[in-house]
Amino acid sequence: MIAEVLKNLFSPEALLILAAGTVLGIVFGAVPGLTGTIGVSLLLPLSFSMSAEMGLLLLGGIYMGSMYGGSITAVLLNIPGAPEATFTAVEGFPMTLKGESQRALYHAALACVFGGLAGVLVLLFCTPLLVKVALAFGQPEMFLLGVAGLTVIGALAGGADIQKSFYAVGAGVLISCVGADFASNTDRFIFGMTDLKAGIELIAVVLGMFAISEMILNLGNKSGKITTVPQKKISRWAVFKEFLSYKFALLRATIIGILIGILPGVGGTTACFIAYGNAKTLSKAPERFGKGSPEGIIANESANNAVVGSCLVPLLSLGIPGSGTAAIMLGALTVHGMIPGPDLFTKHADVAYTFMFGMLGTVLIMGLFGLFGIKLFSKIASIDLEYIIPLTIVFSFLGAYANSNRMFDVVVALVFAVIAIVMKRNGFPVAPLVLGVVLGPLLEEKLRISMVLASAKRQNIFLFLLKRPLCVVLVVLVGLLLYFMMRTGKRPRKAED
Amino acid sequence: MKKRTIAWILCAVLCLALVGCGKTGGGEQTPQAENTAPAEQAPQEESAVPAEQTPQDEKQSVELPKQIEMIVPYSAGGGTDNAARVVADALSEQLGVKVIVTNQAGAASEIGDQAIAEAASDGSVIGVLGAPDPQYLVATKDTAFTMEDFRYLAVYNLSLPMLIGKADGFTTVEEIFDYGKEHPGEITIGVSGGGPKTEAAILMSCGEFEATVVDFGGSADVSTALLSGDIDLACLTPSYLSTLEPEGCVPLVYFSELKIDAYSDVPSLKEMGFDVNIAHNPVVVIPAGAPEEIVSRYQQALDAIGQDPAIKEAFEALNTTYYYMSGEELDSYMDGVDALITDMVERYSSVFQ
Repeated sequence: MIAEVLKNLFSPEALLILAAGTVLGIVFGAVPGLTGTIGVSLLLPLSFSMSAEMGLLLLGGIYMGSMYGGSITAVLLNIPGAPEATFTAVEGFPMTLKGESQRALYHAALACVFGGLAGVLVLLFCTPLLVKVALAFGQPEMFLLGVAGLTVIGALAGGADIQKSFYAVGAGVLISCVGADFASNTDRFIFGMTDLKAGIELIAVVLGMFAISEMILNLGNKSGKITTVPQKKISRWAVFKEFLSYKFALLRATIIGILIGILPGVGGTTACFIAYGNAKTLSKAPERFGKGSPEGIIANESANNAVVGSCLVPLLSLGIPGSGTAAIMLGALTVHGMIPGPDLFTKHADVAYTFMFGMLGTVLIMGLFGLFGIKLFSKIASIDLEYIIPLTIVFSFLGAYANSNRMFDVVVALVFAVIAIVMKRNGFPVAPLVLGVVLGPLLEEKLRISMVLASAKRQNIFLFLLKRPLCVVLVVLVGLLLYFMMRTGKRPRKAED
Repeated sequence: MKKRTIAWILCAVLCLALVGCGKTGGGEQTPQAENTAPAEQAPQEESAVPAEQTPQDEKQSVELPKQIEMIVPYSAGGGTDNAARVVADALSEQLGVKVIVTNQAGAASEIGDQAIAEAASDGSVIGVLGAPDPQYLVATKDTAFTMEDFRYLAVYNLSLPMLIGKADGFTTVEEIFDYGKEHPGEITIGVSGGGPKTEAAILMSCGEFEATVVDFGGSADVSTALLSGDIDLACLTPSYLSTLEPEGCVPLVYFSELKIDAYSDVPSLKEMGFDVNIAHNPVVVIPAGAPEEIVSRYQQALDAIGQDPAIKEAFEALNTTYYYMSGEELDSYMDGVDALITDMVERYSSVFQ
């Protein structure tokens, strides 16, 4: 079987598909609005015409590549190519403004490779153990995990007033309630608009609040460039040494990415937010966050890519996708007649292992492309704004449209661009609002299900939660995180004093 | 100045491209036909010409649009989408025109269902409904469409819903009924969507007991909750059994009359004496009001697809049960499901709220 897998993997066709898929993924990730999910969805029909292993390698390459691609425009233009790259933009763009874009991009590439490798290795060697961990997380535990995620508000607040962060996150949660309710299908806050029944798309919110608003704010920039500071050259080795000095942040973020990736329905964006919040909370230099901290980029990107491998754990072993992109890959598996579960590893072992080992190849290609293409990418920062602004706005519209192919989402992106500008002008941080939109559905669904389960046991929700050992652990964790959040929230004020 | 002109031209071209995308439908255009075109278009054209020349049917002369949009009210990669793509490819070949799948997901299929209902009835748009979701929507909320807005054309595959439990829990339906009567509300049944909700209500109606129906955002979540022990029972389709069985789950009963070979020993509610038959099935539909000639042209093509052994194999590869239905059989089956859902919604309003 090993010989078969190696033969499959090292065939010219497989190598070409792997490389093409990964590079295509990087492009999808880098173009604002075109996410890996859209890439996988668009290439899905093409994969049907290929053999199962080649089709899966193509989609896997796109998925992995897109996770890295998102960091390029995030660092250089302050535009996250996908929601997962939000905090790479928060930390990477200030570095570009200081002429350190190459340093930021190398950190992002190294973190992507480390996180990606770790995720695929646990997929290869720890699947049975991780499946047990995933199943230990019931609905109440997932709810508490969502609450733990909310506690990163303090870290996301930046220098802003923590009270304003709370308002922003509250608004985000409310925005996530728009549309047909998941259980009763009752329409909420739709004001008679059919398009709102499907809810507010996260990608439209992110593109509006980060990409479009940033471009609008850049209108009238007299220098005509993103930055006039020349971009400094830096050796890969120097960055690598610095990268290793953040080893604990890297490991923590990777573990967070792996653990969240295996939980169905939680998603990569949540993993990135929590990893970033955790890195800032436990950092020796939290004051550097928001002003260009490599530690923040490393946390975000390693968690982001660790999710890719780990979300395939429940997909391949239980048929349960851990992310939106994984859900589309489940469709690809099904069409090729491969049903996830133990049978996949017995009846179609050659395909399953070719795919899993092939994912290691995607990490390698992504790393090579990233590390050797950075000098080229960093030139983007010196392009005139008169090209960047129209291109970014059009691509953002395209991205908002392409997710569900509705012009309505383009309008949503525009509305949120205006909201972001108003918020920024009044000292409200934008990131907590996005956090609210990301975590809102998870919190609502899991809380409501937990309450129904508690009522079936004739218990109140608090008692129900406290009777579950893992819930107790999570409650303590939430308490600790709240304490750290308040501490982090106070720090900027002290600095200001 | 020159640079600025170039920038504006670039911007205008991209805007035009975007507007162009918008005009073709307003749904997620997964380039079904585009991707397959290089491989398939040539033979399609070859086959289309002799087909039109052969006077198999005088209705062949009916002009179909050069491009047909097939709206799927769910995301790409799901069960209905997979089935729709098989039909779209075959239909392209049969009719000799491009059939483009557009996904218009959202609000439990309501967005896409409404788009099909409101589409032009000139044959340029057809759709694939994920029954019984639209029937459930019509029965439970004030939708902008009714089932009268669709004309059913064909069903190719069925997903046969089952009740699945844990091997260390309930092992027979009778046990569930007895325990449920003694402990009202204690049994938890996980569901996601209108079909499974109806099935949970049917189970309670058959056993004359009360259970707690737990709504989830998706079937994968129901499956996870059953595995993690959060719920006692789950209404799911057999495709989940390949992963659930090795983890200690067992199928208990079918809600459909039909069964799949691998689980033919599992009883159906019908065999237990209850008049129940419900399945989940993608239904190819055309907006009501389409001219008879167009409908009949589609029907002829879809019937021919239904006879093709390669199509049967393609559906079986999707891990669903191949079962072709059209005409009166399909209408009567869909009416039966309608009646069942309406009855359950009236009797178990709390489950559907």
